Amino acid sequence: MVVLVAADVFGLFDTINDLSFVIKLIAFAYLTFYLYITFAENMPLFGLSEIILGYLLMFHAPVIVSLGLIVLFVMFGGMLQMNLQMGLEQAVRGGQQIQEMERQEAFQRKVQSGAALNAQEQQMYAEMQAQQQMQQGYQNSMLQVRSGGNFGGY
Amino acid sequence: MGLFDDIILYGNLLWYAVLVYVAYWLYNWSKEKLGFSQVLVFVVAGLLIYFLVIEHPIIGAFGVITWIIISGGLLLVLGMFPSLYMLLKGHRQ
Repeated sequence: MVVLVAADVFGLFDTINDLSFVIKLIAFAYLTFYLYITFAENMPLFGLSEIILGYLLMFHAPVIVSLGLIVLFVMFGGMLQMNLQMGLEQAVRGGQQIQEMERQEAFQRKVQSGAALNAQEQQMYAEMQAQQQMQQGYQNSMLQVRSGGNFGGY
Repeated sequence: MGLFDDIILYGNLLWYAVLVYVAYWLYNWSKEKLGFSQVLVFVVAGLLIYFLVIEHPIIGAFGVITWIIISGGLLLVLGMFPSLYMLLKGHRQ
C-alpha cells in the first residue's frame, strides 16, 4: 500500500500511462506502414483496415501490442541474437580470458622471481607442475609412436 | 568554481544536443514509416517528440540510443576488442 502511494507521489503511474500511449502510437505507426504496403493498390481496403486497427489498438491494446511484440521478436530476433552472441558474449568472455591470462602471467613472474608463495599460490604451482609433466609425458609418447616404438612387446 | 560552472554548461549543451538528435531521429523514423501522408508524419512525430523528448527526455534518449546501439552493429564491434587486445599483446588463445 505504501509502495503504491509512493509510486503515485513520484508520478510513476503517469509515466507508465504516457509510455503505454507511446508504445501504442509506435505500434500504430508500424502497422499503418505495413497495411499501406499491403493495400497500396486498394485505398478503400486500406482505410477500412486502418479503422479496424485504430479500434483494436484503442480498446484491446494489451492483446495487439503483445502480438506486435511477438512479431517484432520474430523479425528482429535474429539480429538481437547475433548482437548478443557475437557481440556482448564475446566481449564478456574475452574480458574474462584476458583477466585470467594476466593473472597467470603475474603468477609466473612471481614464481620466476623466487618470491614466497602463499598456500593458494603453492597449490596453483603444484597444479602447473603436474600439467607440465602430463604434457611432457604425452609429447614423449607421441615421439615414440612416430619413431615406431615398442608397444608393450607387440 | 569557474571550471565547475564550465563543466555544468558544457554538460547542459551536450544534453540539449542529444535531445535535438533524438527529436530528429524520431521525426526521421515517422517519415520513413508514414511517408505516404505528410499530415500523419507531423502528427505522429509531434506526439513522439512531445512524450519522449519534452515530457520524459531520459526515457526517450535511453530508448533511442539503445535501439541505435543494438541495430547499428556496435555490439558486434565490441566483441572484437578482446581478440584484438590479445593479438596485440602476443597472447596465444
